[in-house]
Amino acid sequence: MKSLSEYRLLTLALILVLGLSACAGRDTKEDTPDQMTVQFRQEILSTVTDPERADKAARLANKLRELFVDAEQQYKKDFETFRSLNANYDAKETAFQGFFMNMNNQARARQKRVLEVHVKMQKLLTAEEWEKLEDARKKALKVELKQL
Amino acid sequence: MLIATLIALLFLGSGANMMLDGINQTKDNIKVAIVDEGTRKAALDIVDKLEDTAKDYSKADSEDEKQLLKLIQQYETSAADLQKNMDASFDRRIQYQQEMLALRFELKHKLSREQWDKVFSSNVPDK
Repeated sequence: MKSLSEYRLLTLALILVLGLSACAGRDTKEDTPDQMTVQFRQEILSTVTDPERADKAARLANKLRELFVDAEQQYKKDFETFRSLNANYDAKETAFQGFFMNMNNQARARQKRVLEVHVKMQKLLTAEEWEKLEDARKKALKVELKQL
Repeated sequence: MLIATLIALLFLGSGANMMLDGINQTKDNIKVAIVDEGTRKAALDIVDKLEDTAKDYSKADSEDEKQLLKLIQQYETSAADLQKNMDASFDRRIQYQQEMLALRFELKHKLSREQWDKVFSSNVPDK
């Protein structure tokens, strides 16, 4: 079984973007992370009217995208490492502990970076803008969660 | 998209289901590779425990995700609130990893090297 929880989360993130775009009547089946960023940037630019703040928010969105791409690549590597480790009859418990510790530390560090972006985004946007961006997301979420 | 990306990023890397990779194939392989009925049953019981443990964790993990989703949606939520939620989730993750690891070694102790290789070699992807 391929990592369902993580696959679901990745799919959710992608589907939400597809959902948002579908609402706009576009065919987005071939969206890439770069296109995702462009779409989110557009979402921000149309919501945040002040150009300076909008630009800063868009930069933060791009940072999230970079973190997302890095995390996905790291996860694939971890997955392969775990498979090899598990298949090895002689693998010691300490090897697994080391593997998990490394993976957990990376996850912790990533969470910290994401939280930092989140806090910056929160400071940058007004409550109204935040809500507007979330409204768009919620609409997509409502529709797309049913398809997961 | 902001929330979905945040959620995905915050939960990525848990390794939550790595240990369930190819579980059905593992069961099939055990049925074929282990001739002794007692050993086969014992091995399959452990694999069932692995599956149950993972399912329980997955449910709890989903609840954590929902809670985090609610928090992130709220503009007034502080970073400390988010951190608190993630810490609890992280503790659960570590406990889960340890439980799964213990079961993995329990399974190993039931099987010979040859049996282990037969059961897991086909689960390793081609390089």
